[in-house]
Amino acid sequence: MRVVLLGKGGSGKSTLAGLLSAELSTRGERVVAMSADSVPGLAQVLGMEPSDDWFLAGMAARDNGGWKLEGTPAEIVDRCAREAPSGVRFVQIGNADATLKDFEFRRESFLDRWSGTVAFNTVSRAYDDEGGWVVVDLQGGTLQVAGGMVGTTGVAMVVVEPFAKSVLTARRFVDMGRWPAGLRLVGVANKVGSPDDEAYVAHALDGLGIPIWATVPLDPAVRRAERDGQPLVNLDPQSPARVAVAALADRLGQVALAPVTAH
Amino acid sequence: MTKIAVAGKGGSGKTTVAGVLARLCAESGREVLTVDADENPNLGISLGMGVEATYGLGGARETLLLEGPAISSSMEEVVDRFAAEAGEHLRIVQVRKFDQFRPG
Repeated sequence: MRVVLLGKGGSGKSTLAGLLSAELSTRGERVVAMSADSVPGLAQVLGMEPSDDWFLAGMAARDNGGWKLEGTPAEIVDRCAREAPSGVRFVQIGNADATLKDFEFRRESFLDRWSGTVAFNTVSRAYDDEGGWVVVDLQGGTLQVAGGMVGTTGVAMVVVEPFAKSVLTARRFVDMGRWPAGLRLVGVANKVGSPDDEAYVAHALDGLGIPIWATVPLDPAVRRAERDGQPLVNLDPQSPARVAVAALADRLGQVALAPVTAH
Repeated sequence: MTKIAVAGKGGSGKTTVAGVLARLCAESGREVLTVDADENPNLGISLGMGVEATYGLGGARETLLLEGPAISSSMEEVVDRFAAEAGEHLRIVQVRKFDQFRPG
């Protein structure tokens, strides 16, 4: 089952991607978490030490005007993924340094970074270990979504905070054009601090035709843990954010078990 | 002319800070041009233009690309062409907007 997180920068995608991945893994699911963000948020949430090996950059090569993957998706994941304490296997699209090199407009470094994007897209769409999960954490904003990195199957979860800019971003996703038929666009209301906040997001997403699959409260424990350098996956399971993510995992689990309907 | 660039992690409050700063400068009587370089531009909201006006702003880049490779205009001409009024002494230019599916 494939889950893709999208939303405005800072809305909480990496936090939710990490908490969800860890929750699923704790339940015995096989999870590969993939970060398309050059900012290392998801790795930190998962409590991982930095690695030089988990980058997908270089896992695709130019071939006769196109690209070929340096192995099957499963082989790429086996080679690059590093395992988090929770058992989640993690890969990263490319690092911030690779991005900075592009300012020199060197063809080599551009292709190196683009190779990461090609490998990422291919693996994220094609990786299938029959019953496992792929959780994709996209960069904040609309660029990667416009570029088709949401893919074509699974659940696309737009993370929305109770702010106009966050809602406007969701509106841009909806208005982006025809969404692939195999992808379900659903919403997660995040950092909800009051009934007003909840109503605001509910009203906005209702207007966009996006069903809300989870409402995650503003949780002071999240901020404390981040400041203390504690991985968020170590938060008390009874903390509001983790309880909400557990409910989201239940909901996604139902979708995963549901019979596949032909389109 | 004073130029101020605002940078930071996504969600840190760059747009809010830039918007409030721009409004304060404009209210003090300075002519202010704001440039929103985000591919998901929201600065109009922080300037107080409102959601619909912000949503309706176009990206200069998209228009210029459609017109062809040569840009013979001066920077002033580009700004005059694409800047929208955001208030008294306050204009905004939206550089680009990635809001349509365009894979590859």
